[in-house]
Amino acid sequence: MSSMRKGLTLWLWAAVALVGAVSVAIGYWQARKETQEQLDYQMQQVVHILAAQTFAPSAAVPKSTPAAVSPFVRISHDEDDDLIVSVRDQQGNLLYASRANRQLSGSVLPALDSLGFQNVMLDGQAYRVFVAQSGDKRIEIAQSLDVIREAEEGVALATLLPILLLLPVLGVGIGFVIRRQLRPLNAVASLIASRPPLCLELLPVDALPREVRPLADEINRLLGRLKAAVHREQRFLTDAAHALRTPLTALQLQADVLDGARDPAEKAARLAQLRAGIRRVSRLSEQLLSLARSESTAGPLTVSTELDPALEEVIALHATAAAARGITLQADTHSNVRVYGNARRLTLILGNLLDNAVRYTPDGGQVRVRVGTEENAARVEVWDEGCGLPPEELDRVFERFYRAPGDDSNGSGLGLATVDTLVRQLGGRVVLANRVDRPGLIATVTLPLASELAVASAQYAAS
Amino acid sequence: MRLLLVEDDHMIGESLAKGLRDEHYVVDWVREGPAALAALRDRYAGYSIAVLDWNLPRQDGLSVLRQMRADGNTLPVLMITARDELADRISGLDGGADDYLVKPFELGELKARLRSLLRRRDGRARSEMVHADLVLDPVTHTVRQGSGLVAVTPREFTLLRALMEHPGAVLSRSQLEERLYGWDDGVQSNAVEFTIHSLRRKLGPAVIENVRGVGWRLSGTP
Repeated sequence: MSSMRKGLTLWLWAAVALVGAVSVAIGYWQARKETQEQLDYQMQQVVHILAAQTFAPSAAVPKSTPAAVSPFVRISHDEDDDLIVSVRDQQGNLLYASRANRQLSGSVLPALDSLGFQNVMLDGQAYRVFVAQSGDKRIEIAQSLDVIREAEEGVALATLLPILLLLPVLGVGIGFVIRRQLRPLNAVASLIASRPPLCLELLPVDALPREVRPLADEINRLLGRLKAAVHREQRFLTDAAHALRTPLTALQLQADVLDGARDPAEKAARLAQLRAGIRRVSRLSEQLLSLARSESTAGPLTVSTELDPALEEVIALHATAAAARGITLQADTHSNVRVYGNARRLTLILGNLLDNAVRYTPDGGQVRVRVGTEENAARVEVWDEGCGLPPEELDRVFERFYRAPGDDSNGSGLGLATVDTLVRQLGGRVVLANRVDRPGLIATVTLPLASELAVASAQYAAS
Repeated sequence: MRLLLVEDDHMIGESLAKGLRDEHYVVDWVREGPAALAALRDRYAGYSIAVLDWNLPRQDGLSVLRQMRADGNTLPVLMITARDELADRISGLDGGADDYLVKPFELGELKARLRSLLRRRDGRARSEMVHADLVLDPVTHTVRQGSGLVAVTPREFTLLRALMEHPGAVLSRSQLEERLYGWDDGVQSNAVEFTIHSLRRKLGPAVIENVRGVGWRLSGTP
């Protein structure tokens, strides 16, 4: 898992380290250069002083070093650090040699030809030497490069030390600031973590910084959708439990009155009612299940089904029950009509409608099913010969668990709700209308026609 | 004992009517709110008690109940409903229900609650009704006289119970017929006389007294 805090900290540390390294490098180089110039200048100054002095050819070598003459020159108390000076006349006779000369095995600086600054190896040690010609005097002045380097480094270090010391402080500071600024995120996280598992209340977003707000808003939107889904689920459960109470009460009472039957015929009649009650409960549970399924499976419509075979299957399923009551089932089918959706959905839709039609049609009546097409849509009509519905009930009967007043059919109040959900998922619609020619209802389902091309492309996309 | 049953579900209604008839109630069953109100407003129906479902088409049970109470009807009402929330129970009872039974329930409990409501209505401490040496037990459907058990038919039981509910009061022929028959039963013209005759034969001629031109009552002091 990526961590914003770690990422920020590491990248900022890297940036600080890079900037630190570059500034240290530049500072070091600059400090060395300036020190070098400073020391070169000092050597020139010493030469100036020496040039102004007169040296007798016989004069003894002075005890005091020129470094001692000018404190300015003396950059170290260590004797090794002292300048080595020698002054010669035109013939090359040594007029003066500083005490430091004695460290050299050759006793004195060798006479050098070229004037100006140069680096020379003497006795296996590097020296910076300045040679100047002043009148008849040739002045040579040298200083150990080691000493120079030491001085340079000392100065450089003095410049760099604060930076080097401050870098870790800056690093720690960055870590602290990042941790502090990301605290609202942690606060949101712990707010969510501290909730009970099924708490779907929205997060308070007002106090959140602008950068966290969009995330929290999205979480809230998700919570909102979840809440609606949970609410729907709970309502379904409540409705279902309520819907089960009535048939269960009937079952209980039907069982209770079995004992009271006085003769075998009465007992048989009451037993038959109990069985009808059991059928009613199992039918309700089946319908609850198919409603729950229809609401949960709204997958992509990649399948298409031919309408006719589905219709024939449904009619075959209802033929026996209809025939037992003398009801004729008549179907005006229409070959080669394909609609989206799998066969299970279609048979569920058509089955529920046909079931209703047969249920409400009186014995000896007729139920007609007509299939047709209109522009881009298939149209299925189921005509029954029941008593129809008052206009204000035509929409309400699609509500879950709703049953029209005076409906004695022992229906669950779920069939039309299921049909409505399924048809909507297939992009179609279902409406009820009263017949004009006689009492009865026409249930009309329109479903989008499945074009071969669209089906093929959908299948391709799905694969 | 005439009972008004208001229930829209036909399976529940059918079984309740059967079960209550087994208990010797005379049951009138209606399935919608307005029909229930019409039955309750019928002054000659002579109901002893009503079983009222909450969820009814066209007018719900609670509004039927409020309406009948507003009419001044004090008939004991047992409400049956699938609503089990506390608020529902409270508004049902406050709306004028005398008792409240949540679906699903057992027939035995419903019967016991009806007996309890009737007992309360009559101000009796026990289910048994006593008059002189006669004891009528609505729970076991038995009649005892002294120490002996008397076998009675359901109709005889119902008639005797009507008389024992109001000891000393004279009940007219039509009042007794109302207790004996529901809407669906064909009333036989001499059924009341016939039943009284057979009761006198079983319990002794002096038990039921004829007040000429008015009706019948239990004789003697309770």
